[in-house]
Amino acid sequence: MELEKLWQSFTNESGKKEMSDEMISESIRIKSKDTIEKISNTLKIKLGWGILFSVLSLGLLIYHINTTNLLIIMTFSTMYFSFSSLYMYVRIKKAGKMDHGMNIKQFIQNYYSQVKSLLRTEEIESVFVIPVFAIIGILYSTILIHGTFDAVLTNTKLLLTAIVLLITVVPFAVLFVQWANKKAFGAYLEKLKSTIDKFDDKN
Amino acid sequence: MKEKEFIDLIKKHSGIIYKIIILYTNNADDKADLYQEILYQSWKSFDNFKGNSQFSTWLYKVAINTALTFLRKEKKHVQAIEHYSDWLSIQENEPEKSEDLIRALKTLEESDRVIITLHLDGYSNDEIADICGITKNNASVKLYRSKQEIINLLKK
Repeated sequence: MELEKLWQSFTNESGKKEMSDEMISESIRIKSKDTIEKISNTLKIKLGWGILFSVLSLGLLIYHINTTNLLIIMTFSTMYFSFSSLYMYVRIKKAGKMDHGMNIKQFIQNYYSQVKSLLRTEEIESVFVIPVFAIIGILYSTILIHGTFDAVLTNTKLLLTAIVLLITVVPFAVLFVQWANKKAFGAYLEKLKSTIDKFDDKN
Repeated sequence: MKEKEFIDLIKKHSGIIYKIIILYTNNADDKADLYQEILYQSWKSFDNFKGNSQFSTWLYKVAINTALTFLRKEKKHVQAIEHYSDWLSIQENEPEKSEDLIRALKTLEESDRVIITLHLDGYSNDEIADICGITKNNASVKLYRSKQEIINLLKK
């Protein structure tokens, strides 16, 4: 049997059963499992935390500053969380635009770049966020013990511990996030890359 | 109004979605997920469909783009919603020869599968090159090679 005839038979079979209105309506309201949307959603949660901490830091900066040391720390925190949130927002917004009007190869190339870019954003964010939260945790718990922030800042041993922790946590945070992303998306990214290459392959 | 128009167009061209799902997935869970994702992506991009090309060509592109970027499940199992698991299981009723063709097409690289699918659905080499973003010459070479592979597989 000719290839075209076999295809026609397959096409005829596929056209026999109609989709119901309900099937279609239901599917357009699902939660997407698209990779870009999934990674963007994870980043949106981090963005939410970033905005929350920006507001809290700003609130503390405006209403509760009574020492110079704390003023400096809170100013840096506010700036850090605000810039971090803005960075994530821009990257997520950029990734949200996928144009099906492109040809297939362009679309896959664009998609591949977007996934890589979002994963990179996640890595950069985690590299900064994990150590910062570790330090905030230590400082906050010691403030509770020592009573005031200035007392904590004059404790050299404690400050050294915080600095050592910061230095050691950063490489672990980098490695951990890279490992987790590679485990979740490594094979997938390789497959996308291979599909792009195969479109150009003439052999 | 817009949703009604979309539903009518999808119903008219549902065969395209079905064919892509059958050719790009291997299990019931992936079929159900890809089916939902194609409809979701088509709806999300429907505003950008300006009618410059035929709806069938546009839907083909969305369905193929979604299938090629679809992250397949490994071990998780999700139950396909009952009223469309039926629609997706149509493959079981297909003639044996069609099943052979589907099996043979699935042995091709995904990019080659795109090209031969478009060809078998009546697109010219110029159109295939334009849709895929490759040269006409490359499309012809790939098409010839893929056809030979399929014919040889079907002869066995």
